[in-house]
Amino acid sequence: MPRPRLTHGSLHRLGSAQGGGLFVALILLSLYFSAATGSFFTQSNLLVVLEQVSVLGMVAVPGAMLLVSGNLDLSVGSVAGLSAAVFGEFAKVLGWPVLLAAVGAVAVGAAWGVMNGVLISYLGFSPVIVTLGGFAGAAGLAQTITSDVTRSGFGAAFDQLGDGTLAGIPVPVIIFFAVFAVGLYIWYETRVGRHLTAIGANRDAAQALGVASKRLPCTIYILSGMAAALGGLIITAQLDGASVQIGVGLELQVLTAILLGGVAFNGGRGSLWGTLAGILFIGVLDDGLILINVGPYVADLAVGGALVVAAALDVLYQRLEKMPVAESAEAEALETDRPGGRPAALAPPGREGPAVSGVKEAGRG
Amino acid sequence: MNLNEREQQAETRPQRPILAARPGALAVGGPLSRRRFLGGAGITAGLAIGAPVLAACGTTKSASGGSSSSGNRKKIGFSQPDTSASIWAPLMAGAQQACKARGYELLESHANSKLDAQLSEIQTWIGEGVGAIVALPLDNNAIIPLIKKAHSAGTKFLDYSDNALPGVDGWVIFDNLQGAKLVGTYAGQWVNKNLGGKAQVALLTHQIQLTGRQRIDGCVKALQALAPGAKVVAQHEGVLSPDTFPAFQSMLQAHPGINVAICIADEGCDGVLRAFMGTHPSQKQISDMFICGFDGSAPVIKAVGSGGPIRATGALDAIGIGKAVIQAAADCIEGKSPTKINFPYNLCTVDTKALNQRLLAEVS
Repeated sequence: MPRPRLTHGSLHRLGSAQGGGLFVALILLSLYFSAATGSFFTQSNLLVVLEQVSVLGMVAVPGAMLLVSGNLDLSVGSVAGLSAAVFGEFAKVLGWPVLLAAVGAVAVGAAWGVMNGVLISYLGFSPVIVTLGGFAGAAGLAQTITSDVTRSGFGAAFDQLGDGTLAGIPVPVIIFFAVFAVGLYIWYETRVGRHLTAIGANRDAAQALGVASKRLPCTIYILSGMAAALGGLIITAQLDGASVQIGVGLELQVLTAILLGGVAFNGGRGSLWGTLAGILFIGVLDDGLILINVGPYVADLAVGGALVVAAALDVLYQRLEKMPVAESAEAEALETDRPGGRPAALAPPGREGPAVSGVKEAGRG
Repeated sequence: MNLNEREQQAETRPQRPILAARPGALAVGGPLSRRRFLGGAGITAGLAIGAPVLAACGTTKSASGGSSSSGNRKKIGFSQPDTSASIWAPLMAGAQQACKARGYELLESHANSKLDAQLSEIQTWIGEGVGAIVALPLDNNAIIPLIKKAHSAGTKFLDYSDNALPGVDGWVIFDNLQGAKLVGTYAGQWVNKNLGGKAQVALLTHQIQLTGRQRIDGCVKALQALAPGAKVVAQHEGVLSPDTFPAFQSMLQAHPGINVAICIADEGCDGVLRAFMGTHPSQKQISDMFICGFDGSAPVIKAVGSGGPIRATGALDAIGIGKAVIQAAADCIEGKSPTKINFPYNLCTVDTKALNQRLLAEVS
């Protein structure tokens, strides 16, 4: 009995189904909450949802870039807490102007990113171990610096970062949109996005093709640290309190959103739009379950279930990928419509065939 | 690319020593020369040696070892793992004062509200042979096996916060039901006086802990006994402000008329207040809002005194409790009494200025 033959197109469709399927789930979930409570589909509630996911979202953008390149940052939550703590100490203990203290806090996040990037990208340390160490180390450092004392009273101007609005839209949401737009541009419109995917698919092949396989992830680690620090500052502004508890659990939320959105845990495949779906899915679920007054454990259960489904789709994708691929016209077109037979991994992800297939070709070349 | 193809590719490439391969290698990009290996090993060894040395430099005296087993009996482990709570510092200050007075050494918690870390530190103290352990259990059932283990090692075990652990040698507990009734009764009176007896109530809870359940359930019971028109419309888990802020944002979307919020702890009151103020309420809505909590943290006592929407807290005398913890533990070790101490709550409102000032002075 002949084995089923797949085309590049069908593989691609399955790959995008993971993120696209989540969008469908998101719509169904939203419809359910709309039917269950009249409070869900209101402008103010949708803004609340966006505001609640804004920090998660701005940290998830570089997080998705790291994961698609085969890297990981588990330290973001603690770095957010550390930045908040450092900001509080700068502003309240050292008496720095708030703006300078905020810049200093973001610089701390960037410095942490530099450390992660150098250790992982240049010295070859394991991303899991280094950032897990950062997860514990940054939290410990924050507690040591602050002695667990929460600083507050940073003034109305700083509060605008968390509570302010522009044209009726909360400032954190605007910042999230800006970060996401920049992320979209980098991911889909520049070589950086393609190169990150190529690094995740096959680091050695990407390096052989001239991709900066050390510098790029290192840079994204720095951006990840800065995004986490900015997130920490936004929460500090929302609460008007620089607590070391800020950012607790953020790393898992970020990873969950990215994986839900279909970015492969081993890298080499994924989309930023899918990540957006993952971010919104978590936000809608958390908000909706509170609206219908269901306990928080149900939210955890639902997110866990969705994550398992996403993982199942990922496994299915990988298994199908190992099956023989038909030499269809579509497949030929994928190989020939690029100048100089450019590998698919170096083409914009999400527009052409699965990146891993492309690197396979690059490896042959 | 599937795994087989990756393996095939690897076979065609020059082989690198295992240590140089990702992930977790000491060096990348080329063969692992002796110099690189030594360099990497040097970094690793430096970190391995330096980290504990640095950590040791930063530890409190609780880590100062070298005592004999009998010497360790003069140590008391106080596993109050919520180190970010604002009452933690005065609590420890009171405990330190009592330790000094009775000749004991205090071992402070480093568990940072993590159950596994709390279990680990208690096991370490038992292994060390300390005289007594006083624990605020993050999970009652998880702690119970350690009580027997402590007794086997000759260590006394005391419960802290609520009397939920079986077989303990003593306890320092808060009279949660008394405190809940105190705050709930005040809330009921306020609702009757200012809202005509009707209110929409939101609860920010911590149901896993007996203290949490007693505070919230007792408070609601007392509130509704006086103001039956006060209905609970929303409930969500949330102790600290980073949790209560988004939760209360969503609650207000579902029930914009919420005008009573009961927080399991003062640490969550500010998040609730910020979420409420984020809706840009009118002056009337602000004057009709009642937020309350428990513990008596400095920011909340100040807020209560200012006459804003945070209107009450069931405050504990943190320094007094810290002293009582050591008193009960030392009495257990020395075979004296009392070993079972029940601490009452104090109600702080805008009208209790003298009490607020006294507690603020202690907490500060």
